Amino acid sequence: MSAPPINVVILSHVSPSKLLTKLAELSGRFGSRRFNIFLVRGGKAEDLEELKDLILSNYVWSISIYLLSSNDLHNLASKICGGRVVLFSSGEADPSLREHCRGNLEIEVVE
Amino acid sequence: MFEVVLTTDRTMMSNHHGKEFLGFIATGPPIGMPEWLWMRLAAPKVRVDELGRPIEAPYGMRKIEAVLQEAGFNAGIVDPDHLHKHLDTMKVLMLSHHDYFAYGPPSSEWWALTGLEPLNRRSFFKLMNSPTIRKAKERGVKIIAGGPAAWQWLYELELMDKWGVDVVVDGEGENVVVDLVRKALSGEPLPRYVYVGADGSPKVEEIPVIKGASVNGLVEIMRGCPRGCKFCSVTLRPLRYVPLEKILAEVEVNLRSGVKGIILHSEDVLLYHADGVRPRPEPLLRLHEEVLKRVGERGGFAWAHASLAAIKYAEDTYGLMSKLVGEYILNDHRKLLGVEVGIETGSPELVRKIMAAKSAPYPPEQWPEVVEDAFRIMHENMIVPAATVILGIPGETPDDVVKTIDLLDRLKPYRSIIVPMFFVPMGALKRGEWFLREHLTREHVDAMLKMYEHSTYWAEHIIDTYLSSAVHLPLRLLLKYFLRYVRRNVSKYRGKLEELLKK
Repeated sequence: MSAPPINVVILSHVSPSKLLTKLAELSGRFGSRRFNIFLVRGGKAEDLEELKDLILSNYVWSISIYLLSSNDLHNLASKICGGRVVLFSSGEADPSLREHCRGNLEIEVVE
Repeated sequence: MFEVVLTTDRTMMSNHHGKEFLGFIATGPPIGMPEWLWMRLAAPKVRVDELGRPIEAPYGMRKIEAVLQEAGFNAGIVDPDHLHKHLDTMKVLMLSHHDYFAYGPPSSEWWALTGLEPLNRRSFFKLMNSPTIRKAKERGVKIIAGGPAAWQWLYELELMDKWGVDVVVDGEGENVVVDLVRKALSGEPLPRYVYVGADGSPKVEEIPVIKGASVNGLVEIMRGCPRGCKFCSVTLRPLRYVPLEKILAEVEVNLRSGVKGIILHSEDVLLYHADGVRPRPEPLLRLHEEVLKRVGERGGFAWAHASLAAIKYAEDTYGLMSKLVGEYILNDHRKLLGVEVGIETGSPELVRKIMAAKSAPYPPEQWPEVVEDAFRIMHENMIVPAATVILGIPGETPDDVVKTIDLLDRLKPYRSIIVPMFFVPMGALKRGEWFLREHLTREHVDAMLKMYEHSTYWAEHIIDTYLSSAVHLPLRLLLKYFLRYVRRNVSKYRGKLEELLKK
């Protein structure tokens, strides 16, 4: 458990293969095999279905998956405990997340 | 009373009458007798103290309990019948299981073949729907589920919400549970699913010594496996050998608690401090000498798993099997050594595709000979294997199954139980397709009947030796009754299988 985890926020739909490729790239770039994934959907366990392929394809990385509802979105920043943030979004990052991250977090938006 | 409670259902929280193999009965549905009697046979209640703490508890739960207690939490394992005693103090409830939903082997094929829900699944549902757990949930208790079957929750996402399971931890938990429990107690946001990858697995020095006895004195001697079989999840973990002093400390914990024997646990006991996949006599002789010195002449002793290639290599190269069994393990009180082994297939081609190192140091082409030689060595040394054969491995052809049937014919003279297992996608094949009874072919049915004939023939002899003491007489009779019931009814199941083939 060396490098800090990489935070990945998923707002828009992302295909499992695209996500896998991105995680591999991030792991290489930041030298970490730990990820916090924040999946913003309905906040229900069924949302995990979307990441099932990712979980079943992986056995090297340590991944913690947080399920958030869109109502939780404004609280998202407080749930992210540091490190780098990669955001899968079809648009701009959530303003509160941007605000929180300014100066201490690096945000990369993947369309 | 505990703030953090660890528990599981009765099929797991039992010592199975001190006979580990009987625990497997809970993977099947109750057949030929009422459920309560089936339960009594497979998983009788365990002794507990005044707080409801079991004297013996599943080993993996003991590890997590030790981690949490060493981190300063008020945590402990509680028998499922005594959870109510901790309802007022409980803030976190941690669950573990080998097979929560009966999707693992061998539960899944008993279910597929009989069409009846296995006992372990029924028992777990009963626990989760129990008034105590429902009340705990109403009071805001956080539920964290883990253990070897954690992956099964991915297939039961609705139940995760229905029962209010807050977190599922898939993988070795030692390095993650402290943080999760701290978050749960302080009301911080919790992840719903945690996958612990190979990098997150604890180093051997991070694995604590258990603080209470494990079921039937199971003690881990190594973690991980170097063989890399694609269908197995254990092989994805790093290989670690537990130092002898730590093993002996856990043996002492068990014996002090009154457990009457020890099971050495590893995916391949003979590879303890091996030279790659070649067993070395010195560490194995030392391990057995030290453990059995403590267990004494009358104590029980078994191995969890061993590989057939290692058995052959150890005997052919060093006469090690005869030495271990003859000089250390067997005596007037220990008349056989039980162990689980994997045949998986009789086809060298399939061996090369999915478990190329399973036959090492021998080449895959030699696999059928390795299996037969190892069975002969075990038979001569009163080692009784419970062996598995996997049906429906991805890439399997009818010709592969025919080769398995040929091998089963060659194994007839050797005392053993051989059970079929339907392929369950785990390990490097975890994205593979499940093998369901609809996929059965004529060759599969023939192989299953061959295993049935082999196992029912030898079971009678094995039951007499395995349960030879007077205290086990009722169990012996029950099992023999069950065996006769199965023999009487096999034509019914044969008919059902034939019907499936016609569809």
